[in-house]
Amino acid sequence: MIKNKFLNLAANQKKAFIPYVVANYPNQDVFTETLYTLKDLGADLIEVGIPFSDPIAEGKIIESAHHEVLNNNFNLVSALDVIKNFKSNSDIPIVLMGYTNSFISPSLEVFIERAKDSLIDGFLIVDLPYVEKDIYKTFHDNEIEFIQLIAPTTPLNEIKSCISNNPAFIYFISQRGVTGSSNINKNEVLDNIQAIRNKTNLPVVLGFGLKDPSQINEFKSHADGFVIGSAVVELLNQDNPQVKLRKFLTPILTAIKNE
Amino acid sequence: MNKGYFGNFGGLFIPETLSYALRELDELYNSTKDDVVFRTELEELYKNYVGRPSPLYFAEKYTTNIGGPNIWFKREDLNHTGAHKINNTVGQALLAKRLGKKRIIAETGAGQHGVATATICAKLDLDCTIYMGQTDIVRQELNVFKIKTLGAEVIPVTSGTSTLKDALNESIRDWVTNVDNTHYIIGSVTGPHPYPTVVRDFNAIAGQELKHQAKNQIGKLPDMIIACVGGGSNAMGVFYPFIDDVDVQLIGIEAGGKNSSDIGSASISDGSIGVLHGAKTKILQSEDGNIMETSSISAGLDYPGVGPEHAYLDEIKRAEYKKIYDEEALSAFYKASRLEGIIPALETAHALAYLEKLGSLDSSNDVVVNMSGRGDKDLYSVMNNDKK
Ligand SMILES: Cc1ncc(COP(=O)(O)O)c(C=O)c1O
Repeated sequence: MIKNKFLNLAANQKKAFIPYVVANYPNQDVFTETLYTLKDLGADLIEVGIPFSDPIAEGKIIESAHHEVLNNNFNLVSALDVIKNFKSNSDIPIVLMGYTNSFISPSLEVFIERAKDSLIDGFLIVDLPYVEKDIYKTFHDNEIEFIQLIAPTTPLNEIKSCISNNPAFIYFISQRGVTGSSNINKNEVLDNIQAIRNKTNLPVVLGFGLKDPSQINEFKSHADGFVIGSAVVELLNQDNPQVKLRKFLTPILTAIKNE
Repeated sequence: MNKGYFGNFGGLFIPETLSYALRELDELYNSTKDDVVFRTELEELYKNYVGRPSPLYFAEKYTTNIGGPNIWFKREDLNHTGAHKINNTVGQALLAKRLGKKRIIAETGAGQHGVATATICAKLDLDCTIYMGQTDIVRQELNVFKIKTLGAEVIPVTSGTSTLKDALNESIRDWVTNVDNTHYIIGSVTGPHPYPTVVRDFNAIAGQELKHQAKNQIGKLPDMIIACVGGGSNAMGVFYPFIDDVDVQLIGIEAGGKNSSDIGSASISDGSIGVLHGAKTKILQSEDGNIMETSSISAGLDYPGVGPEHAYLDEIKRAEYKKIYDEEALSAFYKASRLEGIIPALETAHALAYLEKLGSLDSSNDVVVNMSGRGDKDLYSVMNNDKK
């Protein structure tokens, strides 16, 4: 599903718009509405963060969102129900993004069963290294796609190993830092994307700290898609979140989608 | 088996940005640990700066009071800065220098690891930043002032539970951002590979000395070694050289909190398998895998995880893990002070409290308690607790 999505985009010479939201943030109603707004705006894939008590790769905005949802008695099953409902009205691939411990609780098998029942397409696990082959094999066996992160600090000679589990695409982390940082070194990103391209044909998506159309324009001819996270999450607990979201995302979408 | 595992436990569950730094540390550590120049430098610091070897002390009055086995204390409390933590920080600071990293970060709960890190950074001219939960900053005011006096910066952490685990989260976030010039000195045998091994090895000096001292002073190996377990570094250090000596019983003491209905922080006794701060280990967690807020009178034991090698020693039954409650630790705190003139850290007091539960051992047996630290840092909280 995710792989096909990128094949289709590539065939039409289009780039992917990938928003990130936090499950049930700031509450179940807004979360639900947000999924439909993102569909309406033309999201190609939606990353749904599973709130975790100790999200070590997140900056303040997303970390606070995780904690706020957990403080409001987050229930994964009810959040998955929202997604299941959404999936009956949409064919946008949904990726669950989070930390290993959420995915193995109460067990990897139970988690996968729940995810499959809710028609989840893929997983992106921030702290799961590629060497955990058994876990990745379980994903494959269950037809769950997954996404491999590559960082600016990943040595070039490691890239082949990183993608040895056959991910759906590569998520290149734009900078050293947590989500929402503003530390991007344009030339380094371009060099890294080129280096990845030299090793694989997998789609390469860029994320971490992206929030305005000018950034998209800088990288547009190099990356296959863009993840917008903190900047989206930041709007969701404000008044009229859907209006704000549309207003904020429209120019970004224009940048991503226009030739 | 994957790299960095102890049986089913360990691994490196970290964001990809850090994986290079961890591999670099692993490689450097392996190529350096037996290097003569490195060993000489380290041993010199251990001897003349830390004050090693720490004595093995026969606790005569404690022995009489317990009326069973002979009780010995391995005096890590006499180390410079008052705890075992300096064994690790000295070793890792030397590694950082070899990595060419001039900036050090560390997390701290009770403040002991923060003090031990700031201390060696002052001596070795390294820039030092300590992350500490706001709750702990209030509980451990004196150590905060010590850290600042030593020239380090203390950054308060206000997210989550504002305690040790959140300070660890924040340290990892700093490291992800500044990984090129920064080394993270983690404070226990926790975290991703190679930390559990590196921290264990630097602490193992205590166990190695003990082996030697026991042969000279007792005439045999001890029958039992007792150590408190927060993350597990003092325990791992003193257990490790005895792992193959199967007649030596190894007992790790976890903090049970107020009583059996309290959450406590006994990750092995009460926890389940999960992944926290880079390692697969036993953790205290909810059904959906979120980490619980723990409780203990001792800030240094108040952590919802444990080093993966302890989870492994528990699984293969090479070590046993028991719980001690706050009140039992407090009585041991006073008992050691009054019988031996040694005020133990509250963490250490948990290990001492287990001496009341030895049951069948008699005067032909020798039991060593690892005195992980001294109690100066805790006097304020014990004083406040007594007022309640
Ligand atoms: C004196 C003392 N003992 C024990 C501990 C617990 O740590 P670990 O289990 O890593 O030895 C601490 C931690 O702060 C400490 O200060």
